[in-house]
Amino acid sequence: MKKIFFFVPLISIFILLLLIGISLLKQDNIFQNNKVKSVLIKKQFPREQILSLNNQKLINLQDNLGTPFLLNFFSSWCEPCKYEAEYLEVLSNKIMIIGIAYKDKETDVYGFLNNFGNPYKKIGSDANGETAINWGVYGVPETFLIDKDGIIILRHAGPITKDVMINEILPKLKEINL
Amino acid sequence: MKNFLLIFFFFLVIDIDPSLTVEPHEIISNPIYENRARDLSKGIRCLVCQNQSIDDSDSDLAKDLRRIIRKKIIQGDTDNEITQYLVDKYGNFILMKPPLYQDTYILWISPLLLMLVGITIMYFTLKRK
Amino acid sequence: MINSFIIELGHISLISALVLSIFQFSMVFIKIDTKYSFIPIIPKLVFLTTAFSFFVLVLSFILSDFSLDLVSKFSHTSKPLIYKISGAWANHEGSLLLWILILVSFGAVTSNLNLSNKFHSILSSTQGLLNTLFLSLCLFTSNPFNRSDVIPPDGLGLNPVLQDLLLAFHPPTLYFGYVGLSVAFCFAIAGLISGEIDRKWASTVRPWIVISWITLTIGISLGSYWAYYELGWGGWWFWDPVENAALMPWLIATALLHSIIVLETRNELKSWTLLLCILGFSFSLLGTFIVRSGIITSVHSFASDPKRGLIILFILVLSILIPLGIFALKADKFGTNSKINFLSREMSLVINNFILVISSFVVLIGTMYPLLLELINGTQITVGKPYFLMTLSPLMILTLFFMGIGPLLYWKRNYLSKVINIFIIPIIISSIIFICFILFSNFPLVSLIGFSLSAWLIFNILYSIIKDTNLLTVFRKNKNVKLLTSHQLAVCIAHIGVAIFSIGAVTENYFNTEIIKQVKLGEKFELGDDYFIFEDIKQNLGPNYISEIGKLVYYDKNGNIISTLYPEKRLFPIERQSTTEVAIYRKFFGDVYAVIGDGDNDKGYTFRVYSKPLVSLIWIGSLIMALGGMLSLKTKFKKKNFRKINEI
Repeated sequence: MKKIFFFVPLISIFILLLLIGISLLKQDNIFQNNKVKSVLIKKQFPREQILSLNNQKLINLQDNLGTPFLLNFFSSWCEPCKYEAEYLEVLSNKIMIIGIAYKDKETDVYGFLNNFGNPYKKIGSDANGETAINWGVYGVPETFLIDKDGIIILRHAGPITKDVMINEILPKLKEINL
Repeated sequence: MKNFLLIFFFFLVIDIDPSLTVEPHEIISNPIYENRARDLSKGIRCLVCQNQSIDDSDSDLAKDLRRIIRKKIIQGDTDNEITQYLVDKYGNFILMKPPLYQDTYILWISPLLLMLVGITIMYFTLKRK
Repeated sequence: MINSFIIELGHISLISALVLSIFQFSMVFIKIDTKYSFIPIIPKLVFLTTAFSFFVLVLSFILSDFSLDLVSKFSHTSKPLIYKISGAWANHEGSLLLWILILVSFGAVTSNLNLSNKFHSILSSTQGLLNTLFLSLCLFTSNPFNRSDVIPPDGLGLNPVLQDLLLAFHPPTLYFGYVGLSVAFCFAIAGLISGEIDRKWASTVRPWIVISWITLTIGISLGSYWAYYELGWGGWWFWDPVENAALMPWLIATALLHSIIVLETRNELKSWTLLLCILGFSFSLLGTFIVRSGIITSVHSFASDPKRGLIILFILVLSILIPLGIFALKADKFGTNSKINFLSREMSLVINNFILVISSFVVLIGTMYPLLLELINGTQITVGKPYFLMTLSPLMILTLFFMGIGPLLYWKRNYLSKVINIFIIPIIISSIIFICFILFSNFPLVSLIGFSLSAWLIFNILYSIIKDTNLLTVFRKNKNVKLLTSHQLAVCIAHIGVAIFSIGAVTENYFNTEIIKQVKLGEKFELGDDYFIFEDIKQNLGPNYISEIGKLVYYDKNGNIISTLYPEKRLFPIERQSTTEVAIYRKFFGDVYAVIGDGDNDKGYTFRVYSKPLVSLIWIGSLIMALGGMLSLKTKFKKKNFRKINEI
């Protein structure tokens, strides 16, 4: 009876490590890059009216129901946004992209688009960051893929690199037949 | 490595001016509301910071979240409604105190379990002879 | 710059250390004439080669030799000398080498101890194995002597936040603590294998445990104090994974500290002590893994490399499972058959030991749970301060209670009437204090419990001093007052330190007041009964920063000047970073803590000022604890004392 007690620490830690080891094997990237996951995936996208960039009309994202689209939060002052512009250009040929200028000024945005290209069908403005919070955004750039039924099927936080485009976004586009 | 660098840049939402956490213009004049705002903020995690609440952080996201909390308090939302809104958008990850549900049963039960194990071992130690 | 030859010599020296360590490890398998072989010179050679290698590294930093990759990444020609030196260990590779240096230096010292040949041989081999594992980790994945591909003219490493004396010396202090626990670890393994666990074993290993505990206490306090004055929002503990990684071994070391004394004086609790020796260093290693593997990104953690993380994990797993296996097989030989009485000092000590170990596992679970949960099913949660406070407060309350009781109980005794006699006065006093607080103040209940228990602890300590010195008999029978033994004094001082710390921590959590205001020049703002006048703002040009310094004059309610505070914010243009330099006015009874924010001369500047009563008690209490520990190093439990204890 007593002797078994002495095996308890060894056995319990061994089991714990085994459990951890098994779950590690299920991952392909063991050391996560600590990105926050979106909880809006598979849910309907948030319904709200967004002011367009030139402040002259309201954009109703609901109007797009029936067509899939990409929603891209960006700003002219955001370094990585510059890197993803060329890939957004490529994607804009396959799917409509709506841009939301995050905490930005109209003139700066137009300057940015002049320099790096304009892949956006429409551009909304989120001057105070509340739209971003409504979408669970925590930094720029972030991109959402919404299907024709209004369901968010993908969220990518960070710039869209070539890898991301090829390995994450294009496959999803294929799934919805684009 | 390249991924690490890009992500690093991504998080470098450069905010050169240091500013305080809660700023004077954020403060609601009604002290009851303001206290609610501060208490709620202490329980919400700043997502781009190091284990801090939005009450303790001067990042842009923290400021925005604080503003939304105050806006909703003034609009009349209850504490639960405000917290639920944030959880709906960011998940349980945004709460400093993990809620008790299926995924966290072990977390919350374990201190009690450990105490029970400790008491059991001590009982057997006392029982000897 | 520095002769490339010398750098290569440093590199070769490190490789030699590895080879020698392998040899050190192999010694136990070589028997000469059926006697266990132990060559004392080898650990010393390992130390010398490692020390030379570290010396070369530090020299490269001092001379700003950017041909070394490490120096080019983490140093800069314009850094002040002291930060060039400390820059050697402000990165993963250099700090790992420092860790190893401390490990092998302890090995060199223990090679001089007077131990049986068999024991010494096994001990040295175990240490040799550890040396081998870590030197391999260093040389194969984290080599400080890698050369730069491109040599920058001035270096790239000039993070302003890291240029702080306290911060420079906080890691080495902690390393002494972590590595000290490795000595207890190796002693436990050697004892389990050789079968020689007795009073002498305990008295030999105890100083190492005490030194580890002291350095961990000081190291953690330094880090906490740095966070307080540097980070700018008045906090001192954030339950960050890396902070927890230091707290867990500290809790185990505290338990071990007490149980080793029981082993040394009463020859009991052997298997429990052995288990703690293994757990202590295991937690140190776990801390190392957390900080260096990249599994957590943190202000503390070093840039990650998955390969490195896997190897550290491998070392961690081996170092925990193998000793636990040895423990499982051999520890039953050391069980004693003596019964522990319920109302004895042993029981009180065992209870607190359990509580400390449970606390460390609670911290472990809180820290690792989010990581593991995400690994297992992808869910992300945060386990923050509220969780730790809710789970650890009840444990802390129990600990304070039993700390009060323990030193007053007798070993092996259990007369209930005597126990009641002992405790009646402290119970009455603490209860009166508690009731007064409830009736006459509106302090939160939890804080009252904390205060009352701290009072309980203090009164019990005073009572034990009175009892041990026979103070009261002086009045009755004119007998002489006895002096406290160094052990008794150490216990009193360390435990009073805990009480003081608790009062500071509880007060800080519940009794801060603050004011946030936008203030124009010349305006006044109030904090409680006192007030501040914003008198001036100056721009200043530092060596690598621009700053704005505000002048706040602090007045009491009668208009007398108490002090002047100069909160500052600095902008470092090259690094595009900014820091706040908090202005703190320190009194024993509390700090006034002022931070300046944005603003300009028209709208005014934003100030945040806190009053933090009794906050210094947090660090004063910790220091007093460490002092108690240092005093206990002097204690030698002689055979004479054992008899005395049994007489009672």
